Amino acid sequence: MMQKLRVPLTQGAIGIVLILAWQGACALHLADPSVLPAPATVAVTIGQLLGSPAFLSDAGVTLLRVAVAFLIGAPIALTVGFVMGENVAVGKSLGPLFNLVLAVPQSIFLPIFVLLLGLGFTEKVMFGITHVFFVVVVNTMAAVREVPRDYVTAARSFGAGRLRIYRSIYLPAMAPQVVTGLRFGLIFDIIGILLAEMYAAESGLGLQLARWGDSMNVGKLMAATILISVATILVNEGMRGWESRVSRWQRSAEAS
Amino acid sequence: MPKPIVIETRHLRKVYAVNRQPTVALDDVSFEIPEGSFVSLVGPSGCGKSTLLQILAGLVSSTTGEVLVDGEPVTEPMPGKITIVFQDSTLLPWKTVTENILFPLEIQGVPAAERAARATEMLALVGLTDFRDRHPHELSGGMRQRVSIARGLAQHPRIMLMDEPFGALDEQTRLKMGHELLRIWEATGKTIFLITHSLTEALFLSDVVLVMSHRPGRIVGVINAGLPRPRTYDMVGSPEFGAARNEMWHLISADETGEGLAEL
Repeated sequence: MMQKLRVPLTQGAIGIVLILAWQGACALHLADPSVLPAPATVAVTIGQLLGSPAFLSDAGVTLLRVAVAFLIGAPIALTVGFVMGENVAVGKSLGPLFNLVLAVPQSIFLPIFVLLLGLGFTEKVMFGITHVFFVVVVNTMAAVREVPRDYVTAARSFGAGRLRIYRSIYLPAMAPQVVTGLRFGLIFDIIGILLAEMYAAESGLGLQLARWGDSMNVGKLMAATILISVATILVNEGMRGWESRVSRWQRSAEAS
Repeated sequence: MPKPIVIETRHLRKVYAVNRQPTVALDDVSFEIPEGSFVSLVGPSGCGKSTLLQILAGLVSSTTGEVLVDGEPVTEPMPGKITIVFQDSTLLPWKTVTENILFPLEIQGVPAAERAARATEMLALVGLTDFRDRHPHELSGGMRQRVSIARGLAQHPRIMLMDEPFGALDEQTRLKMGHELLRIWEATGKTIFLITHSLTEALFLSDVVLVMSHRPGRIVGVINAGLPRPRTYDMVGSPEFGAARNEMWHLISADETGEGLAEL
């Protein structure tokens, strides 16, 4: 029992020590509270933000953009990735293109997006979609290619049709890598939306972060940063939980 | 009265494009397999044995010639009639032993109660009842092949095609599995067509051994094992066994290219 708890206990202890050191530094006036407010102050501000309709409305806007970009981008990317993986000719002609695009930092396209689409919901969501798209396509394509052909041959010999093979062989065989792709897609999506909001927006968490930074409102900036960090960590852990469920067979097969 | 013929091949020829060059994998392959018999095919690796088996199973089509099963041409897989036991057991790693055996039965629409009954029966037949809830990676190579055989037999096929089923096993396990297979064959009365590159294994198990040449694969000899059943390990040392084995050896080494010998 203690053995199992050692790692989380150590991590928790390090966290507490850091927060106490931060609070101590502020109490001893080692840090300027206008640059680095004390944790207790930040905690109070977090509480205020969570009770503020304006903040919640911005959070809602950002959340909606992230969700819409993911719900549009992911299914398209899964389909494109599947076709590219399953159809050798399509994959061979498009695959290299995707690798080239992946090498370019997508953030540099933001000004072009703003020019082409103007500011607003569409521009943000489109930018989010491009962030979801490529990583999900590449992972899905690789997952299709790695479906063991022997399993497919065996299923065919049992009389399985195409749909049955997709459902019973492709789906479980591909799931681990596809869910990894989706997890990265969602995180990139959040990065893209927040970046677009920080760059130029009329609403959203990114806009507020940028404003609080510009006006040196460190308390709110710090509080919002912590809230967003916690939220993305929770999203990531949730996706990892899913990933871990669908890849259980793979881990145990590799361990043996 | 001779047994009816269940599988008949007529002048099978298979040409593949390898780097855009046509490559003849099989040439003029004709043979017959009587119902309930145990027939093996031996030949050097790369002689087209696996291609032949896939053609028999309806997974791959031949370039010319035809395969008849019960007098009907084979054009697609015939689940329930023909089943394959693959070299690498091809058990699905995300399914348990029982689920793997049930999988083909689900595809074939066998009612749930009967599926369960067949799985239980076959697990007992191959002696793996205690392992029914394990996953394939928790089993040894020999056990996995036994599951694979159980999965095949549970479909109640008339013919079981086996592609080097014991190829990945060590010598001792291989011998045991051969014995095990004979016991199952005698208990079920299936027709078995087994591919192997082991001359000893082929002779020990079979009624008839077909000898295939190096590419392009042709049938260069048909050996009647002529050993009494039940087979025992002692027979492997008998003069009859040695003579038959020698005959096969000469057939393969007479292959004009000589390559077949090098690869055995």
